[in-house]
Amino acid sequence: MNETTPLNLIAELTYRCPLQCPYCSNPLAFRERREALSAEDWGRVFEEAAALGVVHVGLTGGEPSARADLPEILERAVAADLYPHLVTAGLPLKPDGLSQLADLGLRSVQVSIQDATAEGSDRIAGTRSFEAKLALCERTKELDLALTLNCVLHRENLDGIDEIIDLAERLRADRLELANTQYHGWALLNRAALMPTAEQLAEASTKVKAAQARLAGGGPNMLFVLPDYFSDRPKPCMGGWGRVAMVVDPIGRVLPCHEAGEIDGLEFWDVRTHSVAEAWNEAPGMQAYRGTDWMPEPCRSCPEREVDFGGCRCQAFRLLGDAARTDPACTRSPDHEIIVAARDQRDPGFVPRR
Amino acid sequence: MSSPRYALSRHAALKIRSHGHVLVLPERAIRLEGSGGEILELVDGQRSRADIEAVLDARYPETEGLAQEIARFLDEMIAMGGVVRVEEITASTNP
Ligand code: SF4
Ligand code: SF4
Repeated sequence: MNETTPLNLIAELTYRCPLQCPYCSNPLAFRERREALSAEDWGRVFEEAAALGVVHVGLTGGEPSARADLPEILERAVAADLYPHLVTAGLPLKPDGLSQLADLGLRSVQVSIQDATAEGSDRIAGTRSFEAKLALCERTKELDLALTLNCVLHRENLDGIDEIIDLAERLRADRLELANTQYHGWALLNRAALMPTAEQLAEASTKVKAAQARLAGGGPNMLFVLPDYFSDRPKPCMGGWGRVAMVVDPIGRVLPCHEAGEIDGLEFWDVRTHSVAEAWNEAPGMQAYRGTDWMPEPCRSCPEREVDFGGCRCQAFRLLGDAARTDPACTRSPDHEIIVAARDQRDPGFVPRR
Repeated sequence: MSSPRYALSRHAALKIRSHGHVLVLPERAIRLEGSGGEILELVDGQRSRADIEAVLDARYPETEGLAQEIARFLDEMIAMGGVVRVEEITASTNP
């Protein structure tokens, strides 16, 4: 085992999704890209990834159940001895379809909601979907699969965090991910509409702590992390570039994270022309930001460089035009003011993903 | 009451790769260091702690502190949600 033995595969099966979340992390240009990998191709990816060391696969998208061959893809993940996890927005998959997936060996499910009520959730999703999500959560529990409820947080729903926690409790979710928006893809486009206030975040954080104390031991395991725009340090994005998590995107590229394929000038390899091992170990884009040698100051001499790996390369690229700079979310970054300024840029109304 | 047996929790799985053993939980994968993987291979819902000790003792007869190491590891795994104690298995559920 070495520093770059991957454990997780994030299999983005498709960009298609029936929802239109304004914070979708899919690339803005996803409409021009058709998914390229057949179920058989995915089977080969799973086998090769497992041989490299991967143990867990997240079947995601877009919306993975938009693919009619999802059961076949899942079967291949099971055959490759991966622990299969489904990340779904709750449709078009139906409860009976989920039962079929459980029979085929699915182990855990993450269902995303957009808010705690049908009205709020459906408005942000841009599509009536809340009831379908709840039905899927219920079936997940009936099937005795692990259930994670995920809700992306932003200015419009943060104040309702208690209701989201109540809902997770009612649904008997095993985990609740209260995921503050990360500004990539559509979320960056909609940043001023999504940006919370520092007060909202502080209040939400207090409510989560109170709920954790109230539920002590019982209830869902809750995860709430302050967004990088409001903490002093960047996130250790994906556990480090090309280190533990491997993304294969719908057009077949092996990537270190969902966004990395959008960085200009980086070359990633396709699983149809390279083995997964080659594409993971040797593609120039994968090697570009591995380890610490590429780091500029202040990261290069920073004692925390192995903690956060210098933050997110995609954020540096998007906000500074240079993926090799220190993530501006860090207070030590010479560019940090742009983050501080963005906290106060607010504007109503978002552009739905389309 | 007989001594408890140990089993992987219902959402956990043990995976064996060329780089070692990994415990997988929903949305989490934990690399097992040292004897952890070998211990978990013996956590099968049938064996008690004494049974696990006996197997590893036979495998590594010279090792000091094996029992404590096994106890510590199992407690850690239980706290993490990877392992559960199966108390009495009654005749009705285990004919
Ligand atoms: S964020 Fe929303 S629109 Fe984007 S893939 Fe997920 S559910 Fe679909
Ligand atoms: S300077 Fe770089 S390594 Fe240090 S904390 Fe900031 S982003 Fe992380």
